[in-house]
Amino acid sequence: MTKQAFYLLWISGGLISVFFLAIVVTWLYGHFLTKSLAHLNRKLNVLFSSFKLATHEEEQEAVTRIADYVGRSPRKKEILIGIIVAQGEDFIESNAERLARLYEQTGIRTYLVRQLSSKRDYIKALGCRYLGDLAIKPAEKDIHALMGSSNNDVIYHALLALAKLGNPRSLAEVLVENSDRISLSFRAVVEILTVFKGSKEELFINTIERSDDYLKGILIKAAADYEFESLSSYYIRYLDSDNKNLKIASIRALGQLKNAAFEVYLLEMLRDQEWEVRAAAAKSLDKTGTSKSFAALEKMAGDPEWWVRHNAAASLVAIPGGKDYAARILDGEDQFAREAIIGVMERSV
Amino acid sequence: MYYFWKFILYFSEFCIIYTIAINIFYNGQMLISVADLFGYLKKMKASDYKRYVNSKNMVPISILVPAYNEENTIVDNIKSLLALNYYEYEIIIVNDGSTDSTRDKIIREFDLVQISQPVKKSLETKEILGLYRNPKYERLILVDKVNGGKADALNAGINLSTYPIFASIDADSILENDALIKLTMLFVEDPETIAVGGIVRIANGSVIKEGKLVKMEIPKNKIAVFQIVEYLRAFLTGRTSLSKLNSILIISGAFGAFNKSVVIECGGYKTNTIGEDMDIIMKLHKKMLDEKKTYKIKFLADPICWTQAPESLKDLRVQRRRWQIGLFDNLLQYKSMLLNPKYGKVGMVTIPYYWLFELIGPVVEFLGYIFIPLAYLFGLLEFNSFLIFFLIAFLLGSTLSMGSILLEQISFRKYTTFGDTMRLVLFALLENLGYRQLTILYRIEGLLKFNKSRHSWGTIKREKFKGSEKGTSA
Repeated sequence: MTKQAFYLLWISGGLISVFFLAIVVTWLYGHFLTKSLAHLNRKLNVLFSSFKLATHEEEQEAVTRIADYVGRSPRKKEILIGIIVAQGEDFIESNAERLARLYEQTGIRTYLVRQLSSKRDYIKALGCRYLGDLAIKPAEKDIHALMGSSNNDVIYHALLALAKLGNPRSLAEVLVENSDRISLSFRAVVEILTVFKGSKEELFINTIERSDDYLKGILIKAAADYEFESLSSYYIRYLDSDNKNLKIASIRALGQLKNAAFEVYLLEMLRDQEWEVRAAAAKSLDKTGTSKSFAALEKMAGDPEWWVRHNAAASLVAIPGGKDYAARILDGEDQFAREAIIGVMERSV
Repeated sequence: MYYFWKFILYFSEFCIIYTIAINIFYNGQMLISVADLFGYLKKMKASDYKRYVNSKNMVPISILVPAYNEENTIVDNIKSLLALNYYEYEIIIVNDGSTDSTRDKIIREFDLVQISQPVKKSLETKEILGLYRNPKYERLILVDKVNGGKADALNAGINLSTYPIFASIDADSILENDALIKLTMLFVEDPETIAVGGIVRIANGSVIKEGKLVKMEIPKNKIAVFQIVEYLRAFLTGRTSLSKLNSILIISGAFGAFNKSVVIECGGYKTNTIGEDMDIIMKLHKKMLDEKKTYKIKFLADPICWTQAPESLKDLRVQRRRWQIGLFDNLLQYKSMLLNPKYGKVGMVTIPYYWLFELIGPVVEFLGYIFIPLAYLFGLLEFNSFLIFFLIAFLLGSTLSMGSILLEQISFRKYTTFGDTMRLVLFALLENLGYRQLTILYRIEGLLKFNKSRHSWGTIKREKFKGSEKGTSA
């Protein structure tokens, strides 16, 4: 026992000493690293500012100065990437050609493309992210090649990068061809479509017919925010789908169009068997509904499902003239409807 | 008499082996945590999570804040919640029949007026006395209800919540601005996620203004510093490693997020218990494993919730007693899961670990402090063994704390000055010379008073956050 205990004593004593030393060394390393990074950051910011302000004639000199300073240092490249990304999408888009020359001469493009072949997945993901953020279009093929990765995070970042590069055909192909294999969440795909830089309408039309119901639902949800009237025929078509999620996405997308011409379709959906569909239709009528919706919403305010009642009451009060109509319900006998209306009216004060 | 001596001897040897085993187990947990934390940091480096801050596609979330006699901290807490970086969320403060001015302070500070609003009663709760809002703060809603305990308040909040995910946050806690986005990202990335816990850190000594932590400092109060070391160890190593095994049993009541529908299916929080935060997780594990569903319950070391630690021994005693009673209550409640292969890693590894090391551990350690000196005094144990037991108990215990501080340095580096870091190191070493033994006594007291106190929370004095009063200099 004593011998083993002595070993343990040495081990724990050794561990404590190692940890103590490591804490001190880590602190010192962190401290000096922070200082050094701050210095590099300042210097590169100055150089990049002169690049930004440079005239056409001065530009080459500014690029050369940055390239000379960055040299082969990965750390300086990372800082420079950070500085460029921080300028924002608008700057990157409007200075695409100038920046492309900077990427080439500083070796940023080669550096990031090389990251895509790293053995470590997070480096690949990071490479994709930066290639997308910096809009380095010549890297599209290299990013495309990552679609075979077994790591979901890499695929997600590769798709995000492709979306940021904005080629609708390329992204549509990837989404349709790989929809069975890519296991990304609903919202992850929505995010990818949201950051897509190209024509979302074109991407939608290229993809929707060839997609399964899952992807159709996502596409419609992503497109809804952009209020493309031209896509309304698709939304209306999928109201008849057997897939509940697709139906709900279509209802919401129609509602987002805020066009009373689609009110009739939404009113029809209030009769659906599924309460989630009724709730979505009731909610969507708040922007699309007119006085023609009052009676149907009054009826829905007494629906057996709480969410349908709540949404119907909220929409009824939101539609112009609806508050007066809703006041009638307050004198009615339907307690559920009465409560729903009172709640919504008090919140809307 | 012979058997008594034999008992002392064997028990002393058992204590030595037990102490070594528990420390090896904890250090093993640390190794798992190191791997997990580095994986997480790499992922966050590649992640573009800030983009989600203003994303309409981010899942909306309801924040539930049960408040009972929290007049000193509640306004700061609400301000911190109102300043969160998140696109769509609501804050539901549930005043659980406070006897102080919690309710009036909130109403006054945020100009709230009583409204009438129907509530979907998914869970049974004590009577709701009133709902208060102000259109100026449209995210904020105050629920005033009859006292029913924290669990009942959370259930009332769930009933009132609009969104599919809810987060529960203690009223004496402050969230970092990006905490919510990092937490909910897990629900977004992986739909199998049903609950996520965030790290809780101690705010004592740090300066908080307008609900934001503006300066982080190690407190002067020694009890609070010991707890900083304890929290680093518990969260950075303990919970991170259990999360890696998908068998975390506690998501701190101070900060956690849940899939609302699954919680409602489980019947919500269990009332009349003081370990409702552990109960809900045990319940979720049991339900999902009974129904053979795949699910994930995770812990994230990055989203940060700042909380106040007790600064007096009296309050510390109340807290530790309560924690131990809550643990015992839950382990008894779910004893059918213990060593039951049906419950996988949870039943075969984590629950036995909690029984063996977390529940019984303090008792064995306490008895060790009595029996080993006795065995030495009666000549049953060599001086060497006696000395080495105490050295190992001290050193191995300290390695874990030192390792956690190192992990913190490498990963999040919240304590930036050299002085603060060295102070933590010093307290990590001192912790095993008195503080740890004291908390063991409190935990044993909890076990002894289990029957009498299992339904009573006890009260802990809350101080205002440093710098939270107007005119206070940072």
